[in-house]
Amino acid sequence: MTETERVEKEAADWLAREDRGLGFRERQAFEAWRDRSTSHRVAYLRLQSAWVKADRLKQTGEPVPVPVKTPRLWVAYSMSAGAAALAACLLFLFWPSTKVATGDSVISTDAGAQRSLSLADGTKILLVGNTTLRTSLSAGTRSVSIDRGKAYFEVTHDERHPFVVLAGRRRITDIGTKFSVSRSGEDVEIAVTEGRVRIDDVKAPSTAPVMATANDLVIAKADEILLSREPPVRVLSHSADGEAELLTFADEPLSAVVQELNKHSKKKIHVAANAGDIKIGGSFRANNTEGFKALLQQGFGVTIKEDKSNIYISK
Amino acid sequence: MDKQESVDGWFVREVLPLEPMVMRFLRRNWRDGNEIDDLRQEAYVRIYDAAVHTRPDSAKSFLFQILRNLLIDRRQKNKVIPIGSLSDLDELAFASDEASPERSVAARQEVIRLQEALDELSDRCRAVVVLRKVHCMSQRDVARHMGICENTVEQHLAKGMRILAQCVDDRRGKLVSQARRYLKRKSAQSPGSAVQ
Repeated sequence: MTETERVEKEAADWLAREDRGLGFRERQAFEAWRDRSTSHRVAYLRLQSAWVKADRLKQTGEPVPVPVKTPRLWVAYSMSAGAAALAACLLFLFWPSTKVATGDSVISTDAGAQRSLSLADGTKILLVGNTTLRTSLSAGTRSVSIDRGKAYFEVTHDERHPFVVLAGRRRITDIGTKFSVSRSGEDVEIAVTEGRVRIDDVKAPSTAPVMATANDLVIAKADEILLSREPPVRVLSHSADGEAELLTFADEPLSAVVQELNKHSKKKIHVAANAGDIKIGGSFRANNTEGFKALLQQGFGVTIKEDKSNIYISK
Repeated sequence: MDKQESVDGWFVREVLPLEPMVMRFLRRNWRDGNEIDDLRQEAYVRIYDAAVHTRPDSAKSFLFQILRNLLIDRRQKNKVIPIGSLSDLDELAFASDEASPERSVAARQEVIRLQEALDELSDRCRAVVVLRKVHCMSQRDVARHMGICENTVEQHLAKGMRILAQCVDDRRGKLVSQARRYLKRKSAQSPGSAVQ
C-alpha cells in the first residue's frame, strides 16, 4: 500500500466514523489526526466532498432498489416467516381445533401435518408439521415449550397471567399479540403479526429483553439476537386521496415482488427463471409499473420486453 | 484555525472540482499509472499549503502550474526520460483553460455519474451506501436491516466513500469526449498521425 493509499484509507475510516457519529473523545482524536498533516486534511476533504455530493442520489425522486444478491441464508429464510405468519392467522379461522386440558401435556405433529389447539382462555395455537410442544397450563400459569418445529400463537391477553413460550434459552412473553415461534436446535425465530412480545434470554437474565412489535422479526442464534424492523411484504399506506398503495419490500426475490405487483398492475409481468432470484428491497407505488421497470433496468441490468398486455423480465 | 477552515472551504469549492481535469492531465503526462494518485495528492497538499499563506487568484492556473513543476521535479528525481515535451504540457494546460464542463454538469448528469459509480461497488457495499444515502437510514438501522454488524457497515461505507470519490474522475463520459477533441486537434496539426 502506498503512502497515499494509506492516508486515503485512514481518511475514509474517519469519514465513515463521523457519518455514524463521533463521541467527544473520538472527535478530539479525529481532529488531531486531521491537523497532523496537510496530506491528511486534503485526503479527508476530498472524500467528504464526494460523499456530500452523493446526496444527489436522493434527488432521483424514485426509490432505488437495493440489490442484495447474497443474503445470509438464515436471514433469507426468516424473511418469509412474517408472510407465513399472516397466512397462518387466516388458517385459524378454518382449521378444526382440539381443546387442550389444563395440566401438562405433550403435543406433536408429523411431517406435513397441521394441528390447531385451543386453550380454555380462548388462546389458539397452530402447529405446523414436525413440531413438538409441551404445554403447562394451570389457573396461575400459561406456559408452552417448543422443542422443535414451528407454531403460531393467537393469545388471549391476561396481564396477571402472562402467556409464555419457551424456546431453548429464549423466553417469549406475550403482551397482547399474535406471533409465531419456530425452533431448530438453538436457533429461534419469532415473527410478530400483531401487538407486542417480550423476549428474554433465560441463560443470561441480566441482558436487556428485546421488545418486538407488529411486523418485527427476531432471529436468535446462541447468544446473539437480531431484530428486523422491515416486514417482508407490507402495504404501508392506503391513502385516502386516491394515491396508490406503497409496497415495501426488504430483500424479497423478484418473483415474489412481481407477484405482489401483478395484483395492481394493468399489464401482467412475467419473470424468467434466471431473474426470479434477484433480491429486491425498497418501496414502490403499486401502480407505477413504468417506474418499477426503469428501476429494474437501471439497478439490475435486466432485459425488459413488452407488448400490449404483458411485460417480460429476463437477465 | 479560522483561516484554515476558510481554506478548507476554498479548497472544496475551487480545487476539488478540477479533479477530473487533473487526472486527465496526469494520465496523459505520466507513464506510471500507479503514481498518478500520489501526484494528485502531492499537488493538493502543495496548493493547500500555499493557500494558507496567500490565496491564489485562479485556483486552476495555480494548480496546473504546481502540477507542471511537480512533474518536472519528479522527472529529474527519477531521471526518467520525459514522454512529452514541455510544450505539450503547456498546450494541455492551455486546453484545460477552456470553459470547464465540470462546473456546468447538470444535476441530472451528476446523478447518472453517481449511479455509474455505484455500479463500481460490490453488491453489499452498494446496498449499504444506498440504504444510508437514499433511504437515509442510520448506520445502525442499515446494520439491522441487512443483518450485519455495525462495524461491517462502517467498513463498507469507508470503502464506498473511496470509490465514489475516485469516480468523480469519470473516464467514460465527458473526459472521453474531451480526449477525443484534444486528439482531433492534434491530428489536425500533424496530418501524418491518424487518429481513429
